[in-house]
Amino acid sequence: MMSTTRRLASVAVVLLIWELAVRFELAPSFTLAAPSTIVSEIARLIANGQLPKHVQASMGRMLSGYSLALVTGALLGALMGWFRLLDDVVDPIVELIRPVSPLAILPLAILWLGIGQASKIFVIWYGCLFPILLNTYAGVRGVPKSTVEAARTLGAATDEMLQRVVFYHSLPLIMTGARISFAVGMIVIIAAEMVAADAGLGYMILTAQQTFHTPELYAGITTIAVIGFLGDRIIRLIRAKLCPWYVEIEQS
Amino acid sequence: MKIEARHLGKEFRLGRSQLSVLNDVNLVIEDGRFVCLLGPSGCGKSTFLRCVAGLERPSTGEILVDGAPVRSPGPDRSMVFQDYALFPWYTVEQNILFGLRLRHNRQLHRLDHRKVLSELVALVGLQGFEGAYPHQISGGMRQRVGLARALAVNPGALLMDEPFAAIDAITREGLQQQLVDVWRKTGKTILFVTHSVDEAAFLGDEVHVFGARPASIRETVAIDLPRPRDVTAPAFAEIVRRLRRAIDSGIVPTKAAA
Repeated sequence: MMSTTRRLASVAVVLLIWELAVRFELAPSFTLAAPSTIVSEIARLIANGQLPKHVQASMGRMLSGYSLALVTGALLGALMGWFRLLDDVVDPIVELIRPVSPLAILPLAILWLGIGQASKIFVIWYGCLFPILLNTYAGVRGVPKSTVEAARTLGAATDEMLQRVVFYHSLPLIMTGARISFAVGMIVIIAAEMVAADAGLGYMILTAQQTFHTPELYAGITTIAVIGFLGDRIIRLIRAKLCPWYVEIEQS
Repeated sequence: MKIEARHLGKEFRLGRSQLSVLNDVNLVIEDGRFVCLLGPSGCGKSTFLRCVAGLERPSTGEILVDGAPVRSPGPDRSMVFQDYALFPWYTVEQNILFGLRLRHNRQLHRLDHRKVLSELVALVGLQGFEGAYPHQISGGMRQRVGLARALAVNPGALLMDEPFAAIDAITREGLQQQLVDVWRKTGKTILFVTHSVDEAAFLGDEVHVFGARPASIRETVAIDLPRPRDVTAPAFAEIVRRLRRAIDSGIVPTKAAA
């Protein structure tokens, strides 16, 4: 409780200083919008339907690419973790591709897939893939030897080993991968929309900057922060529900 | 369960060289005996136990369990591990019932599970902790879960690999006494690996002392002291002395051997 109070107080103090700095004109309102202005700007943008439209555009792309990455990344990571042969074949390719930024891939993706949705979903997928893949891989590969042996001496067959040991050992790591991937996806989608889009939060804040609508620029950034924060919270809640043992270990 | 080792040898590959860990181990363990395997760390006694469990394949010779050679691990020879090896994602209850809930045990009715669970929980003294996760309980309690989990599948033999080595001395004494009680109530054959002379002297009907690598059984000491054993009795001290001598002669090669 004390910790929660301190955390909230910290945010409140920053917002207050920020508000006062603008009110006392320590910074020009042209470059710095006050929190109160941002809130009313967000309200205005919700009322006229602009913000919902851009959020929907961004999150639609983001969640498509993200969920594709979750499924393919977890699947490939699990297979690589379980089958040594596949690991040897795929791992060097993964390691070579992985350092390449999703944004570096974007022009290529546009060349292949056109300027529409597909290229943006592709780079989201690409950016989100590796955290989930590598975490799943670590989860499957990292089951302690004695845990596997305990299950074997109790009579577990291979499928039972996968269901009751490997799956549960990997689950918290998969969820951690999902958290990291979500954060990466949020970064990539905004950048991608700045390069090529006619809607979305990235498009919105870039346009606001180019047309000198400073409050709208801040409203966009704030929205991104809120979505990123809430998304992370939701994934953590899901992890707590799915892995009660793990969350407690982490907290203790 | 009767366990028999015949000319058992085990070698590990270490880079290009071979490391011989066990050499011509011969051993007969009669059903229902409490047998300790004693030796210094790294002498191969755990490797021997793992061969019995089916977790390692012998390089030469064989292990016979009730006359049949060991091919793979199985719940007829369940194991208790030094690091507990509990499943962190399962509660105490789920850990204990792990083996019972596997396919080959599905014919058992759920009611039987409940009965087995309550009996085992009472046997090892875990009442009230059925719903706890392993990380929420102490090391001593974790190992009692490990013991209950291994007993739940009703094995012919219980294989214990230095199960109390990571537990503090006071808790360990309690667990040793508890294990003796469990053994007397269940009548299981127990193979107990330890590097503690006192532990072997307190627990075993017979103690097989392993020599230095490549290990074979250097000496077998039968202990027929009444239980519960009085660790302060002169007869106990004499057993401990004999075991120590056997170990020492194994570590320092004699001139005749060299």
